[in-house]
Amino acid sequence: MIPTLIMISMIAFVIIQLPPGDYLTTKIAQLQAQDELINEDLIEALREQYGLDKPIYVQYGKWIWNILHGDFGFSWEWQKPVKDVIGERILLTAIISFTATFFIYVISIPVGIFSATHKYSVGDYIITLIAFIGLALPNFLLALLLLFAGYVFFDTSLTGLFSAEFANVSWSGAKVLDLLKHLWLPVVVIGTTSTAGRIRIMRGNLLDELNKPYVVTARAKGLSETKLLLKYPVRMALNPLISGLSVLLPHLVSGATITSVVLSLPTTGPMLLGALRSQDVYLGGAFILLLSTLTVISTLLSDILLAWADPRIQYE
Amino acid sequence: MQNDRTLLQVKNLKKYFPIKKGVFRKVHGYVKAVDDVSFSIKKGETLSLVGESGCGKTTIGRLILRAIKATSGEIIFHLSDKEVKINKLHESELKAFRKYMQLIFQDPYSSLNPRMTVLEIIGEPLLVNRVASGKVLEDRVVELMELVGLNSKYLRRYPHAFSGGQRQRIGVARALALNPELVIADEPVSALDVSIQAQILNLLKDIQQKQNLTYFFISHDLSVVEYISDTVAVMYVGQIVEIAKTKNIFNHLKHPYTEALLSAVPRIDPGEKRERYFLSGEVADPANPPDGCYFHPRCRYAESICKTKPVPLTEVVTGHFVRCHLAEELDLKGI
Amino acid sequence: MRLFKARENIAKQEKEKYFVATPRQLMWWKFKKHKLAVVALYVLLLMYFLAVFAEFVSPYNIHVRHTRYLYSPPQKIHFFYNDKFHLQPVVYKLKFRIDSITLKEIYYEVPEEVYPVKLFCRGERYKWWGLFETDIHLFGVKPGGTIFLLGTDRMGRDMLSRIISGSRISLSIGLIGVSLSFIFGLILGGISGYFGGTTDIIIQRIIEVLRSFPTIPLWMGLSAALPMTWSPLKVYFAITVILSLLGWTGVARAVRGRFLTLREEDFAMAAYLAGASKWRIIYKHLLPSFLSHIIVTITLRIPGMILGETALSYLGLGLRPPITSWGVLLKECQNVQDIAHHPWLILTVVFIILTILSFNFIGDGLRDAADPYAT
Ligand SMILES: Nc1ncnc2c1ncn2[C@@H]1O[C@H](COP(=O)(O)OP(=O)(O)O)[C@@H](O)[C@H]1O
Ligand SMILES: [Mg+2]
Repeated sequence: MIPTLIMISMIAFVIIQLPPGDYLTTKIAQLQAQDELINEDLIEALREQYGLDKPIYVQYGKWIWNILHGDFGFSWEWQKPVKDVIGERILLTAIISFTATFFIYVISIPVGIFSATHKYSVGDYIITLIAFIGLALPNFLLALLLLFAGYVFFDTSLTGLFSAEFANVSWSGAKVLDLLKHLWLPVVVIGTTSTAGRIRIMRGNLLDELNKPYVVTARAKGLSETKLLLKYPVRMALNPLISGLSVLLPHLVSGATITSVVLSLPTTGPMLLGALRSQDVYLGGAFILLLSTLTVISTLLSDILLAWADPRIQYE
Repeated sequence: MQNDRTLLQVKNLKKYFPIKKGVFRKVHGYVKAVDDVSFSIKKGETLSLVGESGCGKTTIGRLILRAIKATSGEIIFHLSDKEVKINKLHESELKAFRKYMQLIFQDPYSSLNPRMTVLEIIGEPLLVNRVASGKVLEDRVVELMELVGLNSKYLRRYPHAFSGGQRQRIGVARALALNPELVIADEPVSALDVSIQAQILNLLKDIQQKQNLTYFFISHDLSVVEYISDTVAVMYVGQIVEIAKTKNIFNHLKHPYTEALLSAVPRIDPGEKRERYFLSGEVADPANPPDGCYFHPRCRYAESICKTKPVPLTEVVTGHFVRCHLAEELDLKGI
Repeated sequence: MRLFKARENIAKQEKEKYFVATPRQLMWWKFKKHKLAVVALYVLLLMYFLAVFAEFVSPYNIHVRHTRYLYSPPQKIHFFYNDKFHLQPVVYKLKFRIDSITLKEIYYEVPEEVYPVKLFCRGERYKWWGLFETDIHLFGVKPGGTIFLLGTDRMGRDMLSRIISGSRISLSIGLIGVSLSFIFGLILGGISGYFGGTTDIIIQRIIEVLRSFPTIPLWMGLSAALPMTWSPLKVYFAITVILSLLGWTGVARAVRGRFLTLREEDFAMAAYLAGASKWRIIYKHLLPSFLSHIIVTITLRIPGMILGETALSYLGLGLRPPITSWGVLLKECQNVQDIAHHPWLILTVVFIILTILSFNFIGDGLRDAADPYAT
């Protein structure tokens, strides 16, 4: 995991360094053009702190060194340390992604089981149809369509994560409740595609499992259908789903980024976009690094979960 | 005939597979898949290797074919004009040498590429060795198909058109394409229906007589080898425990393991009252074999000496080698 | 009896046809059983046909502004006019009046003024793929009339023409991107699977790292780094490369996995023992056996690529006007009120979803057909 993180940090750094020119110079030129006062001391200090006149690997070293000491750099756009700008946004992204994960599994597992046990019934066909459409609806299009529908049919704007009165106040019980009220839309938007996919996987796995000889034997022995189902086949069919968690989370974080732009959520998406557009490199770099770290950690979590769910893995 | 010429000699052959574990793939021990095996095969004869699954038969076959390299020991192939040490052959010499030995596989399904026609499958050895191509190749394939009893009009069919037995015939034809000196047959009939098995065995025997072929025949079932072999070697956990002429293995056997294998063979003769004796317990782990005689935990005659003292392979009667402390004392029943 | 013989003969021929059927034929027969996949295949063929012949199929040039028809709603095609049914379809003349309160144009059709819809109609001149010049369009109306089947945008440009033209960019990005992923994936996965050892470990590590990256932020970061001064063509290829940068990992994994299992396959061993060279074993035995599976993998990846372009362009990081892609078209739909008042602007989404759905169905059908020898 550590080597992975190191590689990721390198890639993140290279990406934010890709645009030509060093951003301080650009910024100074801009400020000069606008005849604004330049804080020479601050610029000198920053140049020194981030080693901007040094080769790239020194810059990278300084960047990482500062991050390890809790300093993510300075955001030019916001005129604040990056740390102060992103904390809450990363948290909200994590909340949305994890809620979406929960949503995905809570819906897809029972629906998948139903679909498999009622193979080729009307219900199964409807589920299959919906699942296929869900699969073809990428989250930002779904967000767009839902916004459109909300506006046309209910005449409300479904954007944001908080009601206006809570948007800029500090955290409180009421604010959390307000968040929960708004959370469902991004969660549904982000989760739909993956839910659809997992319904299909669950259905397929369970059908494979149900065709195996041991199920036939158990059925012949007169075991009740529910017991028979839950005892082994469902558990076996769940394994690929759990191991799929490690692919799911990067996917969700990814989806959350763009969905939040469409839905104007106060999460990472819009800010990352802004940072990339204005070449606010440390802000952009911090986002890319933290989002990737989030997914690496979640991969680790899914491995642990898998080991817990499937005892065979531990032996190896 | 020059049938007294030795074709293949195997001396003290060993193959240890390292067991690697952990992130750094450290070697944690060895699977002694083949552990000091020696035998030889005369030209035109059949040597059968018999033993339970996992005892190292396939590994020996692959060592001879140089599909894998031996840990130590010698494999000497006697051509009419020279001797070839297979284990010492260089990669570049190997390719030219392959035509002298061919393999018949166990599984007639996975051993034929489903995406190639019969013509392509049987013709492949001819093509890649530049023996023939085009019309000449096709004629040769037709000839081979007729030799193994396949209708040559099926030349352009794909394997999915054939039954298991027919597929195995295709496999035999492919093995014979280059006129090899030695054919290694790794359980060639064990994946087939019993009714088909005899047909394939007959086919192999017929071809052997026609072409003076030499077989190294692998089987886990003693009943299969009786008809086809001149010599039988019985193997247990990487070692040969008994080797002798076929009739001696079946009539004057000297090893309790051979007895156990033999008694497991079902008989049709209802008049015969025979004590059936089944092997109990698990095959020993080749990575961690027991002390003394490897077979002692499952042997019904085992005495204290068997538990501690390793047994060498000794010649009890001329040409009859046994690896058992009690070989001289026991009076085992054959058939 | 003769009839029976004939029937028997036919059955025999059928069987022989099956016995000598090439793998491709077997796969096609199996694929055809998946009805939805076949329908999807035709839908996609049509889409790609439209994309290839975009200039010919579209009634208008995508950059021409019909300044008198801003935000015109879709026009209908009428078969029933002048109180009678006609075989010749027509469109009505489109006119507008200014709403006295909102000051917006309100469009209405004038059934008295009909314009027959003509096939192979002369219209604006264009150069097909910049190759040869003509003014023949698949359909159109005489000057004076208009045919905006999907309405116009805020600058009065014909939406149908823009969507068709956008499909050329969006659909080709999917194909080119996937081909790049395929080539990278095949080479790296093959190396990884064939050589094993340290090479394998290094490549696997790289794949692992790339896979743990959240795609969209990575894509965003990379495309934001593209200089604004680049030509549209350069941007197009750069975006394609960016999209395939992550795509190859899946292919490489699949290739490696197949390689490892197939390398152990008896028929590969048989070829090796027969003296076949490594390359022959790879291209004659291993490649054909897993190519179909890889094709499934990449088919299912095309939608992701198309959506990647759409998403990036939507965010303003991908393609930019004057290139017209589906994502660029969607960018015009960022304002919900805009869409609510001019709902036809969102019709691009229908084309996108249709495409994605079709690729998914085809992938599904191909998966069933990929191994025609499975029982
Ligand atoms: N490539 C390999 N790596 C490690 N162990 C192996 C390998 N091939 C075979 N073995 C081990 O060697 C032993 C003998 O295998 P094999 O020769 O296939 O037995 P048989 O053909 O008699 O069934 C088994 O314990 C098997 O697990
Ligand atoms: Mg074997």
